[in-house]
Amino acid sequence: MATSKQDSAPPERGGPQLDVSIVIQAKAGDEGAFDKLYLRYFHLIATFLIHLVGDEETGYDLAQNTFVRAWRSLGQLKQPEAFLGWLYQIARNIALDHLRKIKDIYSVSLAPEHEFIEDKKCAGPEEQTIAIDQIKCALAAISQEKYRAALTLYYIQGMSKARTAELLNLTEDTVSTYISKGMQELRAYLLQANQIFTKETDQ
Amino acid sequence: MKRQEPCTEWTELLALRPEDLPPVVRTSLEAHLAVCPICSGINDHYRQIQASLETLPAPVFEPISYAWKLESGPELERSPQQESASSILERYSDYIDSLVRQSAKRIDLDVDELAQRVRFKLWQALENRPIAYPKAYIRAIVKNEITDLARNCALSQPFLEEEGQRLPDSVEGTIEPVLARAITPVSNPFLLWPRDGDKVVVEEMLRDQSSERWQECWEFVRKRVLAGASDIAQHEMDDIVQDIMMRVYKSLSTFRFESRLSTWIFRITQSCIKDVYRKRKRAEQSATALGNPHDAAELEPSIPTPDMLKKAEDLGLLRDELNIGLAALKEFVDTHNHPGRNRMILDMVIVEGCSLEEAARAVKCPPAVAGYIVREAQRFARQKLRLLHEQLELERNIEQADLIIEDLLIIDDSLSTCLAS
Repeated sequence: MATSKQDSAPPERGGPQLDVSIVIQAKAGDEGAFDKLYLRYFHLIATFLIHLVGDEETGYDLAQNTFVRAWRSLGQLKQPEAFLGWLYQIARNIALDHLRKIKDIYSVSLAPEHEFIEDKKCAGPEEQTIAIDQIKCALAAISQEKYRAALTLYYIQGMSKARTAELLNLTEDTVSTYISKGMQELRAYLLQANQIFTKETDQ
Repeated sequence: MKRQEPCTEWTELLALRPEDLPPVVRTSLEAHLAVCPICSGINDHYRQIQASLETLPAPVFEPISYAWKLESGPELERSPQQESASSILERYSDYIDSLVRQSAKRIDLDVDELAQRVRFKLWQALENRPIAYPKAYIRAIVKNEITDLARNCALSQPFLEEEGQRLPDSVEGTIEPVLARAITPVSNPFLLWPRDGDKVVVEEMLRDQSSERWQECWEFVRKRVLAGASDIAQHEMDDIVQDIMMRVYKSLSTFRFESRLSTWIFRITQSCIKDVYRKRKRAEQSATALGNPHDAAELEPSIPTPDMLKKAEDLGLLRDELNIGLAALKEFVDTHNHPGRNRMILDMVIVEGCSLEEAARAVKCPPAVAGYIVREAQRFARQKLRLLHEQLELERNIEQADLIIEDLLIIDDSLSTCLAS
């Protein structure tokens, strides 16, 4: 799986280095410069949003909206060097809006991608797919968006604790707490699921 | 596997990547892991989770150059920001007037005064920073002003659903007396407390359950419920107030003073009222969908039109689907462990429309388990429904095949007649 990630995603974990001069050009209204930023950071924002909302298609749509909104309000960005943090903040706001909208539907009828894979004991290459589905379910079941955001940046996008704190506009201590709470919830979910499966299999 | 908690001092550190810890901390952690089997087990599990998270596949979507621009459209282009505050105010003056008039149409408010307040706030904002989308900003100011008025005057404006759809109004026109009351401000003890006084109030409430603050809080909640849910019966209203007070009581110790206490309580009240309306709406919808067939038959005219037949057929199908769905849920409950618990979770979440958290609380299990049960039951029911659809499809195909055979026989007859003649 790691190889496929390398094939399809930008090579650096934690995202490509920010070129402030491009941000300044884009801020001055240069569409070409903004397009460079879009091509460079789309994957990063899309990955973040996909895990935040728990759905791939929606994640792409929201990533697209993030860049549309970013272009519209780029004039308000005061520090070009903080572009990425600002972009993540827009992405989070968009994701929160989306999650609020679907809250009711989400709690009652869940999309098929949130379904648990029942046959946990099947052998062969499917095991990896099952593990991925299981962790996706667990991630989607995390109670608070902020924990999911911290886990996504820190573990999935491979950012450092300091960088995660910077992008989420939090202190490092708060990030540690969020990661810890998120991990506790993931663990509880996975243990509970395993317990249910074991019982059912024994039966 | 029984869930065990790690030692408190290592809880946060265990969740981080070991390589991110300072060398000294890492060494102490390793030493602790060597002697503490619980933390060691948790650490192993965390590393497994970390590995799974790190191997999640990356998106395969390739961004297309300038796609962001195609979607933004001409109307979303950035507005010039060099314009002065006064010229922007002048340009949007009519817009402010019309928006305020429209928003305050149902309420007896001084429109001019409200518009003036909106203008002043816009001017203040423009003086501080450029505003890219003045119209959106004006809309937000108007909304905030009206909300403020609603809070201060116990305004009876019905709450809005998230999509902007209005929740049901009073059925018997009781909205009018409440509107009249809106003009007279109600006494609100919370508004008198200074912001930093909230701490004292909360401490007093936590310390002393017989404090007068609780009585004031109850009165505040009751008035808000009265203003926000005027068409709800008295006994139901008491239940809602009770429910809100319970929520306040349970969560007061976790109040973080990030807002006014009154705002916090107001939000709880608002969400409870929304829940009540949502439940009512769902109940109405399901009552319509499951309407008594005999009643429906009585209402139908004697000669049904093809449209009605189609509708009746759809309704029949819907009823069949519901019956099969319910039977499937029952089967799911009967064939799995903890039938009592599962039945209660499914009843609460699917039938009554409660949230997973509420259901989980009621049966004393983690919300994740409640979610799992609901999803599994839904999947089970979906499979059964799929079978029903397949069966229907098969029947339809057989009917069509019969029709084709009939046509072929007719053609065959005609041909034979032709040949004979």
